[in-house]
Amino acid sequence: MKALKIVGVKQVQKSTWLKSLCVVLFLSALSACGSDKPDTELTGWQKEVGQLRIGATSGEDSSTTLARWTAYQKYLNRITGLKVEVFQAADYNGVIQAMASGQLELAQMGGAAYANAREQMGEKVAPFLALRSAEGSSGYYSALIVKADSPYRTIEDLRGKSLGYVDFNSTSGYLFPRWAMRQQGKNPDTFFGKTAMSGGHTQSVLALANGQFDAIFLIASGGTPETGFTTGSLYTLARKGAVKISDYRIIWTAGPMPNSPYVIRTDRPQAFQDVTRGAMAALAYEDPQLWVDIGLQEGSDMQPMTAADYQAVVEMRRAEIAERRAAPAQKPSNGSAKP
Amino acid sequence: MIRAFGIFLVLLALMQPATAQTPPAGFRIGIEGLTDSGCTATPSDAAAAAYRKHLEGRLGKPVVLCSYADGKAVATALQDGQLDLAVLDQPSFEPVSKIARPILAPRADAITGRVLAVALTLKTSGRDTPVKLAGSRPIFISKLAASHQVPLQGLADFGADTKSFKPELFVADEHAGLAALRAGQGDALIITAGARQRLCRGDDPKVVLCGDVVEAWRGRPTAQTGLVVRNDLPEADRYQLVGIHIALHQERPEAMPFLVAKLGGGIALDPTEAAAMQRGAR
Repeated sequence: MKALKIVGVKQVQKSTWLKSLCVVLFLSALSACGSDKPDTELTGWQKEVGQLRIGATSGEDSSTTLARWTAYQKYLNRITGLKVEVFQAADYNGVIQAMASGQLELAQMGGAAYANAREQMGEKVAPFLALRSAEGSSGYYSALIVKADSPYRTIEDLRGKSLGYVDFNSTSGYLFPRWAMRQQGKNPDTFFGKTAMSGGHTQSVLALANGQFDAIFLIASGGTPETGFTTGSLYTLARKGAVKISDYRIIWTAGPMPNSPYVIRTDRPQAFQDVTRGAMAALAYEDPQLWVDIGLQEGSDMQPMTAADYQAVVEMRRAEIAERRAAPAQKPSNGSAKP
Repeated sequence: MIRAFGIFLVLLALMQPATAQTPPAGFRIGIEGLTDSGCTATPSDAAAAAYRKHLEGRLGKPVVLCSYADGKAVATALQDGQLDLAVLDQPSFEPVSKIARPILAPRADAITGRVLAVALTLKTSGRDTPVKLAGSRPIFISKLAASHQVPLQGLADFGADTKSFKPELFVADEHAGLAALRAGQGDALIITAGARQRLCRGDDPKVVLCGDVVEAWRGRPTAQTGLVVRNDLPEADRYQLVGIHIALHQERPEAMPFLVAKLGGGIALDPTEAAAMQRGAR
C-alpha cells in the first residue's frame, strides 16, 4: 500500500476529484480483489446494479480502514453475488465527488462529509447505517491534543499558537470543534495564530509528533471525556507502536457528534440497499470475531440511520460556510503550519 | 345447468378466504392469534395492514399474514414449508431449531439491546464456567440495564445460578472493577464486551493488562421472541429481510405497534445470530 501523503485542499477540488480518488490511493491490493462470481450470472436487482463500488477515506487510520473494507468486500461479494471493489481516497472530497458522479454505490464518511455530499446530491445520497457501542451510545468526540511535554493545559493556552485541522470535510477534525469554540465565544479563525490542514487524522498525529503544530483536533472515541477514550487515530497508532499515548495530552473536547455514517446512493435498487444494509448490520452478531478483526469495538453493532440524524451537522456546515464567507479573517493553509 | 353449477363452485372456491393450513402463494408470514383468521392480504388491524403493505412494496411480491392458534402451529407450518417468515417465542422455536433460525429480535430501548457481555474471574479462582459462578459475589460497573440486568440474564441463560449470587458490588468503572476483583472484594466482574476491550486491550501492545483473569462466560441473553426463517432461505433474501426490518421503526413507524405487540415489546428490531433463541448456545 502506498503511504498516505498530505493532500492540500487545492489538490482535491472538484475538477481533480478523480485524481484524488484514483491516483493517490487506488489500492492495487484492493482492486485485485474482485468477485468470484461472474457478472453474466446476475439477474434482477443484481443485474441492474452490476457491481458494488465502495468508497472509503483514510479518515482514522489507513491500514485499519483497509482491513475493514477488505473483510467487508469478501463478505458482501458472497452475499450479493456482485463484484465488489473498494476505492480508498486520500481525503474526504475524493469520495464525495465520486459518489456524486455515480461512481460509487456505498461509502463511509464523517458526518460533515455526508453534509457536503447531501448539499451536492440532495436525496440521491442517504445515511443508512452507523456504529453503536456495546453500551448503546452512538457518538464520538473531537479532542484537542497537545504534546505531553508542552506547557499547554487549557485551550486558552493555545491562543495565538499553531493548530492542525484534519480536512474541511472532517467532522471531528474541523467542523464540530470550530462550531463548539464559537459556542464558547471563541472565533477559531482569530483565536489561533496559524492553522493548516494536515489531510488526515493519521497525518495530524504525525505532524504534531514532528512539531509542525502546537495542537491538533482529532477524533476520539470508545469512551467519553469522563471515562477516557480507547479508540481513534491516536490510540490506533499507539497500539501499532508508532506513538506513545503518554507522549500526548487531551486538553479540551467537543461532542458527542453522531457516528460516521455509511451512506448509499438511493437511486440504486431498493432490494440492493436492503440486502446490503442487512448484511452489514448482521455481521456484528453472526461473526463477532471478524467484527473485532476488522477494527470494530467488541460488542458494538450497527444501527439504521436517517438524514434527520445528521440534520444538525448539515446546519452546522451551512453556518460554518456562512461564517467563512462573512469574515474570512484567516483561512487555514495546506500542509504544516511550521516550516 | 351442470356447467353453471361448476362455474358457481369455482367462484365459491375463489371467494373462500385462504386458511392458515393452506397459505396462498406469495410471501407468507405466520403469526399467532391475528385479529383476522386464516391468511389475509387485507388485515383489519391498521398497524398490521401498514406492515404488510410496507413489506410487499419492499419485497416486490404479494405478502399475506397468516393467523395460527398458537406458536406451535406457526412453527409446524414453517417446518412444513408453508411459511417464509414466522413470529415465534422461544419455546415454540425450540422444536424447529434444526431447520430454522431467528434473524431479528426486539430491542428493548435505545441503549439496551442483547448486549454482548463477559464475566471475568481470577484464573486462580477456578471459576471458569457459568456453572462454577454459583455463590459468587458479582461486580458491576453500572446499574443501567445494558451493564447489569442484560448480562445477568445472559449468565442465567448459560447456566449460572444467579439466584445464588451474593449481594452485588457496584463500582465506578471497569478499571475499579478489576481492582476490586483482584482485591477479593468480589468473585466475578460482569461487564459488556466493549468495557472488557477498553479494560484489557490497552494502548501498548507489549503490555498484558488482564493476564491474571479468565472469561468464565461470554455471550448474549437468549432472545425470548424473534422473527424466524427456514435455514434454506437464500442468504440474500435473509439479509434483505434484516435490512428492511431493522429500519422499520424509522421508515414505517405506524407498522411497529403490530410487531411490537406480537414480539412482546421493544422499540426496534436488531439482527440476531443463528443461535439467538437456543438457550445457552453460542
